[in-house]
Amino acid sequence: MKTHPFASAALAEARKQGASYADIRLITQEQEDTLIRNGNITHLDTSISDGFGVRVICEGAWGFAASPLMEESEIKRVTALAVEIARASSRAKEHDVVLAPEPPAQETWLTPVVEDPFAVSMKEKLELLFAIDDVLRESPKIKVAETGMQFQREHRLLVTSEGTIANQTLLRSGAGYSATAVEGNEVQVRSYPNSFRGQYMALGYELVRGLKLMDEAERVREEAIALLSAKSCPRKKTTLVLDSSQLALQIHESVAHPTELDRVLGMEANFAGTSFATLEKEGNFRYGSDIVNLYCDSTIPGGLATFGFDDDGVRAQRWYIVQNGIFVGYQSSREIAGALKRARSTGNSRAEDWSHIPIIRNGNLSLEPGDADFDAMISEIDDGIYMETNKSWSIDQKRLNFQFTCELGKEIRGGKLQGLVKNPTYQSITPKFWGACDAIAGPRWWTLWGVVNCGKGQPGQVAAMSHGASPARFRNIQIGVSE
Amino acid sequence: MTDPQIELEALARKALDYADGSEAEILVSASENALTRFAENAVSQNVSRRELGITIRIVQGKRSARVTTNRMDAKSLTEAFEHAKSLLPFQKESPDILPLPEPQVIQPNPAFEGSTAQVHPEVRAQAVLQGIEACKKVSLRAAGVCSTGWSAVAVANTNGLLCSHKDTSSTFGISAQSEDSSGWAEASSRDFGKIDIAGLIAVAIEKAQSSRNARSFEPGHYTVVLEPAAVTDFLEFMGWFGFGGLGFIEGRTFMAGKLGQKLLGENISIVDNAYDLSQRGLPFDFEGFPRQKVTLIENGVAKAVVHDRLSAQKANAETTGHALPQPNAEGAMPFNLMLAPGDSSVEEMIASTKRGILVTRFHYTNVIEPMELVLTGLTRDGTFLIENGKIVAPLKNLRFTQSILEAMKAVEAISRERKTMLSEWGMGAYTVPALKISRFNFSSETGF
Repeated sequence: MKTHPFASAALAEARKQGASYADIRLITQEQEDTLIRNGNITHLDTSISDGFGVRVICEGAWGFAASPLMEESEIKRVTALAVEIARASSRAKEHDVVLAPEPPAQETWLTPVVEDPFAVSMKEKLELLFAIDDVLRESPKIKVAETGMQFQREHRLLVTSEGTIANQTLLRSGAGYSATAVEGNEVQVRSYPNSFRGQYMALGYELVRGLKLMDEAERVREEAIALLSAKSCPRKKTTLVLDSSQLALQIHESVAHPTELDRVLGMEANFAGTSFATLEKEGNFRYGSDIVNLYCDSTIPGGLATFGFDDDGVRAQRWYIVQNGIFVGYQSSREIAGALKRARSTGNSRAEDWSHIPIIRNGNLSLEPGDADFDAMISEIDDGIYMETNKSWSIDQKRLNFQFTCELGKEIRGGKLQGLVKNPTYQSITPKFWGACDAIAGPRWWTLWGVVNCGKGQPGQVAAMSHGASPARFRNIQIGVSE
Repeated sequence: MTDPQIELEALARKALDYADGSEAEILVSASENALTRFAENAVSQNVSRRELGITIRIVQGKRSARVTTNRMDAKSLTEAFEHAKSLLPFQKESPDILPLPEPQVIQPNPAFEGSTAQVHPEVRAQAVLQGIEACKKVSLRAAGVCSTGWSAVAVANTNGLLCSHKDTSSTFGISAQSEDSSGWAEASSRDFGKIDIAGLIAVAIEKAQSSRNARSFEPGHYTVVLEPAAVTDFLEFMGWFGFGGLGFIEGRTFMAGKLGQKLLGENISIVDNAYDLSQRGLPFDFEGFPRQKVTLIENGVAKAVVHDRLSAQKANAETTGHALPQPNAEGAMPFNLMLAPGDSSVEEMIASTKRGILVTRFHYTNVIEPMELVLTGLTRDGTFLIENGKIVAPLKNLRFTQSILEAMKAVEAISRERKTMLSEWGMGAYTVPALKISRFNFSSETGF
């Protein structure tokens, strides 16, 4: 398979400088970002970024350097710098870096796309966005309407000294909107299909067409206005039903991050934190009730962490994290899997772009659908609350104590959804919460949600991944915890 | 790069040559940063990256479009301009697009320390080893970060506006950990040589050692002594949810409609001041206007918010030079927030407390309700019970859920000494003292 002349030059230079392992990622990222805010185009942006990052192991330690200047002399300078940095790293090492084995692969992989979003005319996109904006702003109580689309295409070429050449084209699309209603001292927001600019998937423009954005705009506007006069969330322990988008974030914060093996081993101790899901718990710790099954899948269609190979050159996989309520698996990289003498990495090593070093990032970690009917799940509740769409999140550095606020709540009384509740908030401890899950809706209600704003690492990196879930029910949960 | 400022100005001028009669604005940025991370008593990641990017914005009446690229050759720049122009014709006019500004007078604000711009990896390794060795000696595990580097930015337009700035930044942070405790300390400076690395290591170790065998504590309302790192979170969210001009105009922030009113305690004054030596020092905004020192809160009274030209126009005010790249959804933002010092110290605050909690820093703080600025977050890396003027026991970590406006009305003491913390994700810095607050709500426990 054909490599890139710069890749060969970098690997040769690394070998010459004494590196025992080297890889180079040559990446081009293209983005298109459009945002309409209150009738004004606030983003009509396109961007393109080229660059490369060279990672080496020398004297048993890592070094990494990156540059946007795609010139032969710069490749040599950056590679030499990466080796120099690795030698400095080796002065403070406890063990030599040992990578878990992975057979070299030489393959091309592309995100399957029906309709190239970059080929859809800007005119068509703007017409849709302005039409939604008009509907959202029909009421003077809506002070802010934001409607947007984002598309990203990445060409990633990974070449390693072990013989891997992974040539990938990854594409993602996103769209959505929000309406912020203001009255007196009250501010309330509603979003569609999700908060933080909508739904994102590894799909083409077919995602945007399938979201039926116009159809929901009136409801979103009216719900934002209705929340202004809704009652406050009561403070009590009660039965909680979460919609699938909030549950996706719940999975992200309380399952995906604590099962990153770098956190477990203390690699993020100074910043993002560690994890309660320590090594001795693997295979025996009760993470949730018997009906809770959580799996990671880098092959699932539409997932933002769906790829052919991760940035270590590890082929995409599917595996369980929690099976029948028991904690059974982690997310790893070749370095961390190697340190623990595991047979293979799970393939979670990813970097934001060419300028960042790959670190362990969440995969597409999802909750398997259950067998409950959503309406039946509600009808079994005498007194409880339903919450929808994330507004705010917070969780401790071991990923135990979390507190989330949603955009909209509805009281459940006598088996029926009742009046609106504003600023609905719930708080619990991770294994206690998942242990309180007694019903999960079936496949009909299951949605794969994209997260595009996951921050981790120093220097900070942003990564995207997806989490799928159906609505689920949790018993005896503390709600209404704010002052 | 020889002198980043000179090179970026030349790049900006070169880019404007491709405007071909259009009204255009150029934003060029470059940086070179190196960062050594350590964990479990060893270097875990060690990176260096150079970045360079250019954003071209074409303005045609009430229409505009932006193209960003890091390809600087003639063909790519020509294509970038042509692509931006191609996005204009079918746009609806946007009333909020303003004509490009005329040249402004910008006073240079030197913030570049050559010795911090290029630090050899061995020097960072030496600082990291100092922390690791000290922790090993007392059977603790060290984790942390040591970073050094420079960044530069230039703004130019076809009206002849051209301004540029370069700065350096550095950070050393360390977490010392035992099996059941941790302690943390961090400092940032534009001059790496001025960071007291030994002092930071000693603080982290002392906190880790003294927070072993932490006990559970019933959540509730308590007096708190918050060290500067904890106070930083408050200022960060006040900046995002209170001090910007756009949210103010739209009535969705706690400052909206309240200028001249007393919102916080009389002892609270907050300014945004890029010219203080503790700050990163960018003396202009992304429209090319001089960044002004703005008093936002004076003796508890809401005095002003920061503006770009657009929000200033809508508020019948003048721009304060706090624009983000135009146009945008966020409006003007303060990047250099400073909370005025008092006349106390952390030691005096502890000594004057009958029963309370000392907090080193908070983790994962987020906003629940913006108008009262109700925040939630968790204590981390050293939380202690104070009784009868003394620290008597380490505590397991607690979650707080608290209106910061209410907390800022109940500040009993403010330290003389302030610390500057860089923003985790942005370009800002916060210069903050420690605070003693008489009533602060802890809403739940973590169990560790």
